[in-house]
Amino acid sequence: MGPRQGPRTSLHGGLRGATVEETLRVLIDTNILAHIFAKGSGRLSFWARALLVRELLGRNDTIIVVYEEQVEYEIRRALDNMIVTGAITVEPKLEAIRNIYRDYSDLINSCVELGKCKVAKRQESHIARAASLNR
Amino acid sequence: MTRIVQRLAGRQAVATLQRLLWSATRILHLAYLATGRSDARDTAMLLYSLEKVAGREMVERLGYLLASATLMTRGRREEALALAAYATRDLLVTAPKSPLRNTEAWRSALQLTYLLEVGSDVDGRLLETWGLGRALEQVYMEG
Repeated sequence: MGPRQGPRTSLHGGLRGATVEETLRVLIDTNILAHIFAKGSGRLSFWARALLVRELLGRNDTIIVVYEEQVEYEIRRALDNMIVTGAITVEPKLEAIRNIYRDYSDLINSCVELGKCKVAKRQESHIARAASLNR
Repeated sequence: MTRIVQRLAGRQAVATLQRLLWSATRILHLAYLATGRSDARDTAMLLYSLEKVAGREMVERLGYLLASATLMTRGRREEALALAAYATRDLLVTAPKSPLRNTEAWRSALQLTYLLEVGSDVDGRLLETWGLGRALEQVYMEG
């Protein structure tokens, strides 16, 4: 395995020195994000988005969970910014981030299992947009 | 008068118990986040269900929750959480229509409610504290 490219995070734990790419992979691999970053939820906090979901559940609607590749691009840039500004040296633990996203993944799985959520296919246009912006 | 005082004292005791359970649940959830140990989260879910039922027609519910705690200590976590979900069935965001023997569905229902209330709260605050929310906002504004 060759040397890792790109800026490194200063996260603690077994993956100390992980690249942004690797950190991002942890966030994306669990196939999550879904409604938390669903299109149109704009700048709402994570918490507010969760409350929004609860509201929808209360209304007995089916939630369409959309996996958006654009999210990957946005998180990549956010993490890059955090490294540049030094914010990520606040030492978020990679293990905790992984578990946070496991929570969200479990949340969606439970929702799907109870017939309250449906997972939609990813939107190709967002993949193309993310790729073009990333160049 | 004595009865009123007793009632007030009882309410205060319930409120104190709820506060303690609220804190313990969140501490356990943080322990789960730090270590990845799912048994910590499962125990937090059990405490959460106890917090939810505190002060509400507890007699029948406590029976289920005691059985749930016993199962939990024996490592039968899915059944334990299904029983805890059943004990709090009218307080869940959504309750399954399937019978209790479908433990997976009942556990999922408790998990969904727990993650919406406790998980989203603790996780969201942690991410906000670390600045991911602000960083994402910047990205939105730049984009």
